[in-house]
Amino acid sequence: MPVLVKLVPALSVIALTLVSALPWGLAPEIRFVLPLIPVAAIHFWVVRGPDRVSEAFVFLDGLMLDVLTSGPLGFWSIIYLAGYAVSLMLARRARRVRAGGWAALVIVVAVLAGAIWGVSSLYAFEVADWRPLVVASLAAALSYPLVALVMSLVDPGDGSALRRPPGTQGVQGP
Amino acid sequence: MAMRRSEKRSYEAAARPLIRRGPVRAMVPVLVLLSIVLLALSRIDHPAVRAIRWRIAEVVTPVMSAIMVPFEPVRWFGQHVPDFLTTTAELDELRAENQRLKGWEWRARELERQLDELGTLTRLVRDPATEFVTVRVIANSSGAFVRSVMVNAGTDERLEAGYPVLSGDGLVGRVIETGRSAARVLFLTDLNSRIPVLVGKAEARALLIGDNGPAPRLDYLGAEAGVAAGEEVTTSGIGGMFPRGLRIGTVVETPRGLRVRPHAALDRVEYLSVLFYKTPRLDNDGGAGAGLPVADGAASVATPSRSSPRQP
Repeated sequence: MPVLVKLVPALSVIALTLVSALPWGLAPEIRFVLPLIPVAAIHFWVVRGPDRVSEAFVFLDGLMLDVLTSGPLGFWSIIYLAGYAVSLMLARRARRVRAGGWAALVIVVAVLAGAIWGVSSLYAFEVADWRPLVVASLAAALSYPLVALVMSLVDPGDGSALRRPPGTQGVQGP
Repeated sequence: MAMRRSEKRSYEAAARPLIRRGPVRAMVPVLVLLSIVLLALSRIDHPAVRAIRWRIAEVVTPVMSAIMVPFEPVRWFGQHVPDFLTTTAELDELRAENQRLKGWEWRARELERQLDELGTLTRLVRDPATEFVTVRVIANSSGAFVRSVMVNAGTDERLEAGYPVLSGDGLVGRVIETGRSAARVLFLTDLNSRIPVLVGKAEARALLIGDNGPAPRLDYLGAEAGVAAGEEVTTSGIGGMFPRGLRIGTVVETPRGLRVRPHAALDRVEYLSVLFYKTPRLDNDGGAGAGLPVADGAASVATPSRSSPRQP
């Protein structure tokens, strides 16, 4: 059972990644939001505990999405790793205030929108269209409460590795 | 949830060593570097990257097919909600269109009969009958780079790179990569798509060039072609990649020139037909045409020779 509990964050992120690659019938401009949903999940787990998902897992998850979406290998790996790093930096502050996780995700998504635009433009050697990114970023930021709710429901563990040190008491969620 | 001041302090004290674990977080730049290397290899289309891609795809394809099952009602609902809202108006349109098409059906049968008679008289070489297989879309591209989908059939179903792919409404694109149980279909809107086409009643030749937008542009169209918005665009068959006469879309006039709005709803395709159409070529058996180059993506197996006259 403890192994299963440890696997919950990874499994939930993989599930969301697979779901985000399904053919939902969305227009390409709107479809950009889908790969950002796993970012919200990664952010949720990082805020809950910095060792709930590992950087190697985040890399492989991005690689899997690259394969599924037929994009260049390494693109979503870079983006997800960037999101993971920013989430790590903001995690501590995010847990201090109410809805801190959501506020931190807004920053993460804004940074990632810039990263996606930059990497896309560099890769294609032409200036990428920024408008779909803005729409996708807003939608991803708005989706966080729902993602956080679902993740809270599937997490059967104690919630946070940060609460483990003796004499400390953390909170259950971001 | 708000925390008390003392709890915050103790939380910070506990979090600091975990968040600042040097060796573990040092992996992040290493992995970013690895991603950049992969990205560079993808840019030059390195064979190793293709191999990795298909190795992962082979593993993930059955999982994708399975995961689609529970989400099917949600997907169906999401895709059909806009249809429900416009059903009444569409029904009236369809009734009127049905009336018109009944007249056309009669004319088409008559023309088909005449064509058959003329073909017999002139010993016309007919195109070989083309088989097809119906496949299901299991994954969709969702980035700035490609317009493609992954389908749930590959070399096990005799799919090969270069085969044309259609939906019920018209041409969608072509197969560009195949694994054993999955294949990738490049949409005609993709940046790398080039399709020789015929435009309008005058059958003006042009090249349909994708640019990742919803409507690919018409290029190499002569100024005297006199193409107007609303005219039909079909495949020309030139180059041998596609058979002649596959419906593609209609011409639309935009500030950026003439473009083609595809008949197929590329964002919503679910089932696709893959035509087993192989590029016509001379048999490579030492004949006069041996060693002639064939179009990129052409099938390696020779098709039934089209140079032999059809028996009346």
